[in-house]
Amino acid sequence: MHLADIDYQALSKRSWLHDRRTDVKSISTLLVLIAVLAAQNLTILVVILCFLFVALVSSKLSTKAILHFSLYPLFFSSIFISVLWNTNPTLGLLSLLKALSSAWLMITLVATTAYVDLFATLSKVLPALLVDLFLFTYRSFFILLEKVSDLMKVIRLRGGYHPYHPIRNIKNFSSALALLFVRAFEMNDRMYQIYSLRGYTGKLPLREEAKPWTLSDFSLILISLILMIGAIL
Amino acid sequence: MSHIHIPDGILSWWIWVPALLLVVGILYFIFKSWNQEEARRLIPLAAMMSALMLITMSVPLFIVPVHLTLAVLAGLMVGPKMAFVSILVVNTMLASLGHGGVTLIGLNTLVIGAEMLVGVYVYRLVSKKLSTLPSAMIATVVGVSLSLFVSLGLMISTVGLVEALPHEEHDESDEEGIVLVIPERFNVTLEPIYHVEEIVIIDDRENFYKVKLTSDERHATVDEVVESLIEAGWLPSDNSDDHKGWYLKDNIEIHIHALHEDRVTVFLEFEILPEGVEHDHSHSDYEGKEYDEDLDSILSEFNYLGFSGWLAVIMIYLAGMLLESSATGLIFKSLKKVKKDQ
Repeated sequence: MHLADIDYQALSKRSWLHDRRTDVKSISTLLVLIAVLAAQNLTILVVILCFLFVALVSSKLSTKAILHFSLYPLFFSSIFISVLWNTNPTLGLLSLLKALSSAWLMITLVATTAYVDLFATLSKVLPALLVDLFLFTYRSFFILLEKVSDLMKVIRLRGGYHPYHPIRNIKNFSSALALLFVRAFEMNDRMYQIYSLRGYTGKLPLREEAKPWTLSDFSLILISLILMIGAIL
Repeated sequence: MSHIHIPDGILSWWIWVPALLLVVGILYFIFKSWNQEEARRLIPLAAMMSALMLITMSVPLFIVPVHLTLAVLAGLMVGPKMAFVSILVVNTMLASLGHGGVTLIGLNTLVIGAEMLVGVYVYRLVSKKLSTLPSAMIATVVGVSLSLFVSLGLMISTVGLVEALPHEEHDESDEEGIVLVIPERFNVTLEPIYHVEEIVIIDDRENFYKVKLTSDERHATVDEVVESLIEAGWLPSDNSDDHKGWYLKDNIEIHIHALHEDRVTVFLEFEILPEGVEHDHSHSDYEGKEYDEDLDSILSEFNYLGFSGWLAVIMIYLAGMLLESSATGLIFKSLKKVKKDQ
């Protein structure tokens, strides 16, 4: 799971894209996504892909990480490409580039924007409870990841893992996960009570960092708009 | 287990846009019908379930190419409405990491949501008669099976029925097989053979007949010929249990073998054996090349690499189903033991 890596990338690194306003990046992402979906020729997709590659590299994401993130879309699109290759190789290549572009696009957004800022932008259009669920899930993910890691160590230390007894392992891990759930639920109940005491009424107050509009923000939207119009036309 | 991994730009807009709109509609209905206080109280629990689903859905199981979803467990834990919202959250977060397309968020939510909903209702029905573990397992099996069928339907709508089916199946339904006509004196009638591109008669004598088949899928061709022979009453002519390449019926012997140099050629030899003469089963030469690979080696290779087509689909389905249902059942059973109020 790369959520932790992406979170670190979004919060700890600084780049031209990191400094852009979250709403600007969200709008640009939407425009480029439309471009990717609408593109019907290889040239425009190659241009989009080059643009995204530059964006990813300039956001200080390592080439190794980019390759790693590309594996999922490449693997899953390869199934369709193998089907399309014999009948229409151009369509196969088009599908591959679309899959890769779309994945790179989303990675660019989440790797340069803190999730909390993204949720704050989302809260303008989505129901408050849904945004809260996003936030709580995001927080729970890291709690759970840490607890799962500790739990695995405990199971091994106490002899709960036997390489040649898969059924016993499944039973032990299931019991351990259930226990983990119980603890996590209790922790979350406590968290809910704390939030309630502090006035939580179904909408977490999210404050977006107030960044002024700059020429770079307009440029980013303009480039995305050009790509979208180019793909549609 | 039934997460759809179709990248963006492959599915037509008329499939994913209505799905997304339907999800928005369902969300509207859920938010309208919710008791806000109860919903707020459930959010931490749902978040924990979402986080667990995020972890399980991003970790492929090492023995089969699937991953768990635990959607039914989510439904059992937090109720269908909150679980549906959780599933949407998980799919959105996964899509933002390149795991499945962004355009697939709606469809994936519907497919996994259907799995969860059916699972929950089946559990409620079955748990009246059975204990927690079997009830949860049955509910998961039913839910996952349904969502797999929905996923398969989507796959068919994308690439067509022929391509969506496992390879060995669609070839036979799509193409016409070639009928190999053997002279009557050899008393052999074979079923149509698929995958064969060319048939060349190499030798045609009174008591010996030999053909060369060129096949893009040699293993499948050999398998079809062997199947056809066994159905017609031919038996392997040596003592081994495996097919050794020689088949005997009355005094007629058939030898199937292949060239080692390439991966496309199969030879079929038909020979009428004289009374009282036992064939020595030695390999003969053809244009100076040694037939150093007989049917045994082809079939052993075929068996090793033959984990494909319907067999692979069924094996993966069973393995994935067993893992998903046992994980759901065992976790839910343990949870019920600890928290009696669940």
